[in-house]
Amino acid sequence: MSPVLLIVLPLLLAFVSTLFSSQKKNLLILASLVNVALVFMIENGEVMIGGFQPPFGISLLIDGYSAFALTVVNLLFFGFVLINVTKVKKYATVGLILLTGINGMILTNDLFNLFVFIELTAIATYILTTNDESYKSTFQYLVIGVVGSGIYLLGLMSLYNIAGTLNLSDLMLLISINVVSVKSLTIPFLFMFIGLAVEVKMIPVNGWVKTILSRADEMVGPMVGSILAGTYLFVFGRIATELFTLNETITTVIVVLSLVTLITGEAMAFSSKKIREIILYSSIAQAGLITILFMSNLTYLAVLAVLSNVLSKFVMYYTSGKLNDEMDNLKGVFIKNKCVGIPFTISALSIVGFPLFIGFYVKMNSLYSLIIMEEYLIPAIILITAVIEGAYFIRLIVKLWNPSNEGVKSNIEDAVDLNIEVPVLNRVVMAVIVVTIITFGFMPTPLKDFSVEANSLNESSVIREIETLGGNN
Amino acid sequence: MNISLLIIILLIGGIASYFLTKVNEQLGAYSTIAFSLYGFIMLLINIDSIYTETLVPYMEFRVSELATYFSLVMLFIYSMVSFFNPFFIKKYSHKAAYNAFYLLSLAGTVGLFYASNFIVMFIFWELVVFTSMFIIPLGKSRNASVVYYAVSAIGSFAMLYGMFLMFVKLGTFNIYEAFALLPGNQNLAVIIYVLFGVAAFAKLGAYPLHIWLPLAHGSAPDTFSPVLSGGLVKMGAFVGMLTLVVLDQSAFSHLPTMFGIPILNYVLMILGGISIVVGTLMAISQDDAKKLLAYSSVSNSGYILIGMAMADSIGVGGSLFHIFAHALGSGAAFMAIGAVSYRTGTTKMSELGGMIHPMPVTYMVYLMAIISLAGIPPMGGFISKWLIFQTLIDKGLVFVAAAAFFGSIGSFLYVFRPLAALFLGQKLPKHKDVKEVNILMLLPMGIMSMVTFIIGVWPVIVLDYINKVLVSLNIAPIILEGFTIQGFNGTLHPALIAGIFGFGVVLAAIMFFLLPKSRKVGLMDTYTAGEFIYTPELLHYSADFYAPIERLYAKYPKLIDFYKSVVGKIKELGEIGKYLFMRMKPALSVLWLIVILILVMWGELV
Repeated sequence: MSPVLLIVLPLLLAFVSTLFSSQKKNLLILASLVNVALVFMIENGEVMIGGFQPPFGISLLIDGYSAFALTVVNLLFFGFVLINVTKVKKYATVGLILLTGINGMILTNDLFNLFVFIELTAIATYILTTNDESYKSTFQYLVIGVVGSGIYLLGLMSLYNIAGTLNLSDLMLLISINVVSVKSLTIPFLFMFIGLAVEVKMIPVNGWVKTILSRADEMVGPMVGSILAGTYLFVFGRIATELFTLNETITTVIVVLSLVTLITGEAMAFSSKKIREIILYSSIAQAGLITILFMSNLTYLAVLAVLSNVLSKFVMYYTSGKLNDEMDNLKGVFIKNKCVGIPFTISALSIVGFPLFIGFYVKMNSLYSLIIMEEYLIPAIILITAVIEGAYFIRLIVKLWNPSNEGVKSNIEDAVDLNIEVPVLNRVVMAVIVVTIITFGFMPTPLKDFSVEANSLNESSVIREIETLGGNN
Repeated sequence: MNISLLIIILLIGGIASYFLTKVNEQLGAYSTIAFSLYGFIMLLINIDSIYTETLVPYMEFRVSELATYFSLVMLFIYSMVSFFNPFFIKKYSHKAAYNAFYLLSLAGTVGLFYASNFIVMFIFWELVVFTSMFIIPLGKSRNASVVYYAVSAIGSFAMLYGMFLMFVKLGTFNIYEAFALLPGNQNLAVIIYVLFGVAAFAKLGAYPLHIWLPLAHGSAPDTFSPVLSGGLVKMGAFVGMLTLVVLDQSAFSHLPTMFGIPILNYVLMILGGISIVVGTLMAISQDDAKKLLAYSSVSNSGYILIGMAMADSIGVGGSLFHIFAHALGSGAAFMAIGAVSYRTGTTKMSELGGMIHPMPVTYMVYLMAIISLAGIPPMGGFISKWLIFQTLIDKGLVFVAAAAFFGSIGSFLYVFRPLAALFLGQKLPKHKDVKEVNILMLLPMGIMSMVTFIIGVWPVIVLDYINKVLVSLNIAPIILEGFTIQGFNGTLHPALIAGIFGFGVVLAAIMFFLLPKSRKVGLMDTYTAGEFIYTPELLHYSADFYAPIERLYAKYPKLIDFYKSVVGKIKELGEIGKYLFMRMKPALSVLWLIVILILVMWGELV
């Protein structure tokens, strides 16, 4: 099966859906279902479109990394469609475009194409985020998003000026045979990084995250906070590991910004009292952590960290979208709503690093790998921020499970009288995610086998090709 | 007895009790008794034939006398306290979770004591932290569990960092191999000492990481405070044993010494001394009986640390004995307070009084527990304090000894206060219908008191096993002759002392029964010179009992203010971050984008 279908099918159905608006919802379900099936059928390799040889035409690249990313994102997208099956109708076309953009971003091997897909996704996201009619926050996202992708485009222009190509494999080839020196690419890389940083939620260009996600409902939250965040991180990881890590200046800039993001993100979450704010700031901090892992060439762990984060945040944004916001007004809310409480708790504990959940595996192995690399400061910072992270998540969980005020014994009768309706389909989706979190925590081996190619990304096919060609002059 | 099997049974027991509680809450509560008691009895009767055989991949254990000793203490405390569960379970908001976490935390402690591998140890360690962290908020405070988690996390992450450092430098995750290799790398040994020391201090609740202890112990559910104080803090002592005793002290031969003690150990002892003083002073000024006992745990953790840091047979032996004696004493005291709270619903001393009349057995249990805690013969606590004092005096450690003696005398002040305020005096009118607790609750308290008494009179039965532990750690055993213990400057005859005490008690009893009885007056029967009293409670003798002493140090800086300010600073950082980056101002975001662009391009453009 050609991977092009992953992009083309949703796009086609998006057009079709405008014609048959009564069937919109079914088309979205169909597209996401077919995409999930397709993900498991496509084969690794580079795909040319329109018969143009790369670097001239558009080309898609499927390796272990993108296959993994596609699987995660498409499965979650299907989950997203399932949990919003009643609400999604109005946004079905938008959803189809989002699916196109997401798959395109992950698959494309061309940096300009990536820009197109980022824009496509961003526009769809702007529309989606207007669903609560807070146009001002969408406007902020729009402004910063447009400026960010403009800067990314600026970077591409100067990159094309210097290297003469925007094809990722081609560019790596040129760099590896020293036709293009990495040093000269600092400026374009910088522009590209800052453009991406907006979407990856790096401080200081992530102001939109708060305005969008602090009012996100169970539709926008999982989409923007989990699926899109994961996609952008996967895309960032691809570019970071293949290009940015080659340049020392840019590596330093990214690592420093990531550390600032990590520390400030955790501090901001710690100082918040609203559930969604805590979760979104924690997302920011996690993004910082993941970019550090990518920049340290720990691709396998970074990918797992994205997976762990995406799974947990999906559940957490869904749950917080269902609750109203103030933590202190929701004491003991989970007692009567165990079907959201248990998934939420397990997700949060996974991020905090409760033993034998997937977050624990990721955290332990990240620290281990960093220390093995004789990197002592970053693990120390990660551990210190982990204490803060633990403190605010534990505070949140403990308050949501235990009614009564401070100084009074926890008493069931004081629990908030709030019954959250969770349809069966949503329960199933949550249960599947929770089981995934636990299973992969116990048995990470399948993940390892699956993404083992992601682990050796730096020796990806391109480099190996050069070695066999002997083009190393 | 396969130790892997025991741990797995306890883990399964935890999960089983969850579902049993769902069926019937009493059934679940009784299952905690069954499982913890099973664990204790199995370990005790098979004490000489413990082996390990890996049943689950990666879960590898190593049998050692040290682990068995700690596990026995832990299992004993858990199994005794579990008798309270059936009575308290109906008061808890999460019944099934309570029972499950109770057994899981027990399994976690036993697992971490026997773990042969750092990762396994860390997993069990975290299991205990998380499970106990979810039990604490069932009590009176939610913030307490956050503080508890944060301090525990500081400890466990410091330990984790040390584990990885050791793996990188020494190439092994095996605990005992790594500690055997450590003396070869003296700089690393110092770092590991500090990192593991942080873990030990955090879990033991020693100064300066003691702040969680009064909060958590004071507000935990009544059935969990004895476990926390008697059991779980001993995890810190175990980590302390690893670095202070299992790790060969030749690793620190390159460091200067103080009074003949390696400087690191001396610093640790000074901190232990500060723990004793701070714990004592803070305990004196508490009104809540549980908080008072919690501070006394801080103080006792100081003794445990000091004994271990001496690294000789009497010091380490005394420390190990104190671990057991304190577990019994503080466990029994917390259980007695819990029993009072079960009947009256409060633990505040100013709201209680005269409980000796309805609850004489509980009173006796509490009395014997505090006698042991204060280190008065003929109870167990006396033996361990005697051993620790022996070695302190022998080494001539003036400052630490001063702190230790201060703590011992100070403990008279605070342990007898709940005795006077809770049990003696007159009953408040609202407690006139209070009765003694059920026989099933009296049974474990009685057993613990008896054991406290027996090890005080005949300490040799425990010291025999401690000697085995010492020999396995390459330390000379304590010299025991018949009923006596040989110290550095004298021989202790516990049985003789007990006999003299018994004689004194009999004499006092005779006087009590022969002499005329005192007149009973009402609790609020206070008098003034013609002035009418509107608030007789304030004239109750237990209100502001130690006000003159408290006034001496009331205005001294408190460490908790420092921690509060650290938390405040983190929050401020967050607020600054929100102010700078997270406002609904698109222009601001664009500004930052340009600023960052200019900043990072500076060097490239010029």
